[in-house]
Amino acid sequence: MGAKKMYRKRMRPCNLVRSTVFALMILGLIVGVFGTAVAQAKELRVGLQSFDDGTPGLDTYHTTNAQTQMQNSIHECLIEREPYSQPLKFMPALATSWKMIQPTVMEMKLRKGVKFHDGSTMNAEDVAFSLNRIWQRTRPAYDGAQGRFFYNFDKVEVVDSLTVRIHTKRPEPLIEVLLSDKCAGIVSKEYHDKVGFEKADLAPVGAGPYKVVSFKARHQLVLERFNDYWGEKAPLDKITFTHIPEISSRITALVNGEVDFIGNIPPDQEGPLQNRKDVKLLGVVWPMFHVYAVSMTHPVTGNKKLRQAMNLSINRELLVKGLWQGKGLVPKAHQFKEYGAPLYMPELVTVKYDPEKAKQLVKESGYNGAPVVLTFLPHYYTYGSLAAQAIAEMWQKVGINVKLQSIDNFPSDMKEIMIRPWSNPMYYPDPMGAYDTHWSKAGWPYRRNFFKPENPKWDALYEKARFSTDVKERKQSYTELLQIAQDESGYILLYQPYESFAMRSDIEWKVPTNMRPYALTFRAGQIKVGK
Amino acid sequence: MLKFIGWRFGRALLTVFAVLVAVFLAARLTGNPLDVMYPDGLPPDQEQRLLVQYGLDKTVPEQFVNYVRDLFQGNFGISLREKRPVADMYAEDIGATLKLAGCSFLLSVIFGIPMGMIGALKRRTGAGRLVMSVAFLGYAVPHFIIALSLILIFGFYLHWLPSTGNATIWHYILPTITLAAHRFASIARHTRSSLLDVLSQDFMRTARAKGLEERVVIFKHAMRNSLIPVVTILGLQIAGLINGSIIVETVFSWPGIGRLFVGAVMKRDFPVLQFGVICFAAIVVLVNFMVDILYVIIDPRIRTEA
Repeated sequence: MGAKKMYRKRMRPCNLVRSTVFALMILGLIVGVFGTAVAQAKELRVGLQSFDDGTPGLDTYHTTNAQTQMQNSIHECLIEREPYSQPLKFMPALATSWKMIQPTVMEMKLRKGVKFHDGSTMNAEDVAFSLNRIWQRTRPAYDGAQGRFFYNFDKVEVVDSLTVRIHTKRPEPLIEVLLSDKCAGIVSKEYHDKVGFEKADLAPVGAGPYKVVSFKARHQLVLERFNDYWGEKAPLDKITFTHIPEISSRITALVNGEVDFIGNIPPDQEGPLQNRKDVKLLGVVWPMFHVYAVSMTHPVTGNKKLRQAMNLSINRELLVKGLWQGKGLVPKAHQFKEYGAPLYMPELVTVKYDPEKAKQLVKESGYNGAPVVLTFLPHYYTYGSLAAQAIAEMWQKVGINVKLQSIDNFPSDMKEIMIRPWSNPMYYPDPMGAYDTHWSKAGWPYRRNFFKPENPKWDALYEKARFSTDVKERKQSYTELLQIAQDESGYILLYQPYESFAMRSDIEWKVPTNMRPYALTFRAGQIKVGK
Repeated sequence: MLKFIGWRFGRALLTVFAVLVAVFLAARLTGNPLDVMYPDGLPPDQEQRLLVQYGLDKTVPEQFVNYVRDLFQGNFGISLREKRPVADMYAEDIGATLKLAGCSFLLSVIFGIPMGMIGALKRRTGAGRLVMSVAFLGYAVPHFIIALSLILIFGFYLHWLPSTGNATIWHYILPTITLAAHRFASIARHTRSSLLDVLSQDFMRTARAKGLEERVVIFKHAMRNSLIPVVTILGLQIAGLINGSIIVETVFSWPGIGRLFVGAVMKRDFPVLQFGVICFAAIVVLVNFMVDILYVIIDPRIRTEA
């Protein structure tokens, strides 16, 4: 017994050391496992200026700048665009291959085993449902997407469960770029049938890299990585989008560590974020024009020489310097460098400033001094009211009697409106991505008799610029079209606006040049979060 | 007493009905909601189909009769934009607004009445002047200035308090103070003037002449008699709280009904707008009705007169 006791006594310290080492190992393992998990748990909290245009929802048919910020993470298209490539490249996504089998028919093979966020498996019926409803305008809500992108698309034909045929009304040279817009995202038909349009809009089930966890209309959206995503898994575990409309609150929320990423910072609000070690500022000149649409049919502004005078008398350099602190861009023509070669033409200049010629045109126009009413919405876009006041002064100087009219909403009957502000963003990287989406016959200015070019060459040139499959012919037609448009002056380009994003300094992110303005890209390879 | 309550209740119902008529007509004067919902325009057949679907193809009196009938059946309407029952939409967000309003109301009473008392009882001292100067500032400075100043100081520079959302108790501090500032200033000013008025009455001299302690004179005789105008103000403050919360919610990204309400006005979502205004009116009327009853409890003379 004594020996046993001795043994025990002798062994105790040894046991203690062993136990301690063992416990430390276990602890180390636990800390290691959970610590790693904590270190890898990456959440991005995004503060957004706008959440919707008054109609909350995240379904693919929404085309607003607000909703596009969130849709890109949720929805997946048959074809995806490489976000930064020059020239534009397309990547197989829900479709693995595609080919034109007739001039108006494209056959697409679908990826097998793609899961939607609700766990159901995608098939051709889902594709037909998602696209046909918009292309065939089964609801007025789909009008925006249909008119802007898909007016030349007819239907999706189901060949078998993994093959579809895309029918267009006429040969469509832009078929890939249009099918890679998020409005052509694929949603679950089964889910839509089960919950109905309204609920499916507020809690969409897509096939993108993040799935919706919760959506509180007007306030907050929470996304989570979708682990059954067909492609490379999303880099973030969770993204929380919070609606913070007030710019001061948004900036404070970033500096205070309440959010990690904010946008829509105009130049005059960058000051508090400059020279901070914990915050990174990223400025961008958007591929978008602030524009004045001028009625070509109103008795006053129907006078072409008067419209030309208005166009020539705007000192855009001064506006960019005064309003945008020199950070915006004065346009040379209705085009953006994001189109890339060969369709972007840096040498083309159609927009000019010539107040003396403007004065002469006013005289030649026979203008009788009748009030020219510039109607604007006070908060339609950044510095919009200030720009209207400055431009009114410029027009007064060349002899135009301008009246400013501020209203809350534009009426459906545009007969009384002479000039109104608008914006022309590049929806997709092609001249038609900013032109056809605004000035085609499907757009409101044409349909409401606002934009009616008189030049007899217009229709033929538009036809070639939009539908020709010969790139040289498209380029030549587009050049001529822009020169005629300048002569017609049915719209007046003001400038390309500048805004900043701000984020935690350990975040690496860049603005996707092949997406429409405001689209946020948080997929694999598109964002890195340090800690 | 019952007759008094019945009379006031009938008047309250009439007020709500008048508000209902006013908002119903005013909403329709703003124009066609489809113009805002579909700014790019609609083909005439689709427009007509939607007008029929929303019941907007009928004359305004017909629309009103249908709306009132639906109200009595517990159907408060469907949002034109969200296509959801408006009652559900308000139910989702009203909680946050009520919590904020409740905290602000409590804060304004807790600070406002003592400040008013100090202002009256120490009116010739530095403390009295300081208190009333603070009250004056709170009354004069608009909500959004207070809000942005607080955000700048306690959020941007000091990093002490969060400035957006309502996730934790810390999130309540800045919006509550902002929303309460105007109220407690108002309550303090009215408490002060009412108390000063009562302090100069004959019965106060009598109370002191009877040899009562100053504490008893102030709290039992003066304060009780000065409460009626203060209670009236408290009732009115409830209305102001809901109004003010719309701006405060925007600045602090507070997930309440503010955005829903403003959005309904801007986007001509008639059912959402009507329901919001009626609820708001009902709250104000209910509070005033309760204030009327409180009068009776505080001042028995009103009961006798009634």
